[in-house]
Amino acid sequence: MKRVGFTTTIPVEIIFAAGKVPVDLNNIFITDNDPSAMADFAEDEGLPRNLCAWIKGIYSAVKSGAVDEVIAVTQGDCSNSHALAELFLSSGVKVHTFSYPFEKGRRYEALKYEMERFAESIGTTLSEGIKYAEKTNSVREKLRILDKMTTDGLVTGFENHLWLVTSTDFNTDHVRYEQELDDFITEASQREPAKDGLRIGFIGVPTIFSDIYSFIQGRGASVVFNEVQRQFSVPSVSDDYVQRYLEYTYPYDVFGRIEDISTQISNRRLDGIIHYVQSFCYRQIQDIIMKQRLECPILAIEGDGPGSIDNRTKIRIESFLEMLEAKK
Amino acid sequence: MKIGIDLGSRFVKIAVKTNDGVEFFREDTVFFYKNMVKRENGEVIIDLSSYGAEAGADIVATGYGRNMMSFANANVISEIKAHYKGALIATKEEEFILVDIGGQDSKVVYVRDGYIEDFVMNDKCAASTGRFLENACRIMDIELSDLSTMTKDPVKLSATCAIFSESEIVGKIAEGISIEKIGAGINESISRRLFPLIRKYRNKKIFAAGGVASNSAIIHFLSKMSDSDIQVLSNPQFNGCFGCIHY
Repeated sequence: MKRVGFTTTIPVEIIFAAGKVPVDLNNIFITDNDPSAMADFAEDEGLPRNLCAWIKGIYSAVKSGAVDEVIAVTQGDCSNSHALAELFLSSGVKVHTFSYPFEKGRRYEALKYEMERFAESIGTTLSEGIKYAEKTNSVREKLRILDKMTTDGLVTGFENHLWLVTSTDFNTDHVRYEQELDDFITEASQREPAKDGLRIGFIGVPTIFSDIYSFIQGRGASVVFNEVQRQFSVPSVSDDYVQRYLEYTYPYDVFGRIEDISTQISNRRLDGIIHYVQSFCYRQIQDIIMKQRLECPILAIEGDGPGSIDNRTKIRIESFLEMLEAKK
Repeated sequence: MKIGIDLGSRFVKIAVKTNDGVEFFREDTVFFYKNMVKRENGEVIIDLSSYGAEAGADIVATGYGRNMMSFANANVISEIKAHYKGALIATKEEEFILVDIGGQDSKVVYVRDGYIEDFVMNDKCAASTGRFLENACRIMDIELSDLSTMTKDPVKLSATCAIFSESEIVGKIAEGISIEKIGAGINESISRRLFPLIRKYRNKKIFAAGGVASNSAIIHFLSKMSDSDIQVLSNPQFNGCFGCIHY
């Protein structure tokens, strides 16, 4: 079966319906034994040093032959991934495109049309994709349960991150993924809930730091919300497949995200928010709006290459937690 | 006896509090790590005997170094907490803004009702910090004390990166621009980078600490930009270790 890589979350059921294997290229990069070497490889090939590490990692993942075809998200991700698609095209890689409509007016129709066009490009139809979703609906429901268990202190912030971030391609096999998820939920539901401490939420793209969750947990705080990872799991409960991807906040404007985060701040009783931004990413600009509009203390931190958290970031996180503790 | 120690990126600052009062010491960071930090049976011990510390003295540490090694004989607190306390005690104010400009980091702490209300730190760039000032002085072959007098006709420096700023300075010297104007340009560029951190606190009392606060030209530019009369704490470089002895 052909392996189809993608640069950010897309309606994955359409790929399954086409009889192909979906592969989230971000996960290939970050779960590699040596992700730094992948970023270095991209730089050796001429990609700028001052470029988002995820773009470099995706580039190297495709170049290493991890996938047969690529889906580039040309609206709703970033202009870097747009240029990346052009690099792939230029080197003969088969590229499909998918674009989330930015315009609010007639967004439903535009998204539905885009899904139909994309399905055709990949060798199936939207109706087949919708039919296939009957097989993944139960997985998504279980992911919502897992997310609730995180809020209840039964699942750690890191486990939540890992499950939700890998739901973009269900680790390429949704049947096995569901079985493993069942086992995990059974195990986690027998745990003692975590002790009361600071309740922290992560917003922004998943962090590139491998140890940030254990660092925060080691200081007596719990991460009970991973904004973008949760969105990656497409948490909408709508019966309408197109509508679910309309409610998926990540690819659209920042205001939809802010609405979602605000709801979660109160539902999950967050004490503070850590806004992770990737070096050289346009989303850094959105931090200004986040700080203006969200009613919760926010710390912005920045990461570049994969690896452990640096001392400067540690100081910021520790001070932030201390401040929140003193406020409580 | 109580000892506060601020393990900064450029200098280690030590405050020793006895019944006779508080005494301050400063060492180069690299010298300190080489000579005053010992490893015994896998444990890291700070040896402060040369500063008059008694064995078993109560030590509170802050600064970069605290995360690089786990000290067996010191309580460790964050820099924000240390600097906040230092300024709180020194100013006796309940509501103020503290700007700490260090060797590698700048931080702004907002204190309200005597507690930390918020804080913000510079982004991951050394172009607004003491280390850059030192390098700039080295290039221009002047002392930091000379630089701190330069405020007239600042030349425009535009590089965003500390390293490129250095070559920009060399370029300005080559163009025949006076050291005073270049120095004023450096002071102004540092202030311009710091200003966004304090912009929203313009109408509050602002105090400055950290080694760079001794540069009166930077305080001058920063005061002008923020339309406030920024006060420099006495012993600004020792504010962190001074705060430590109050925990």
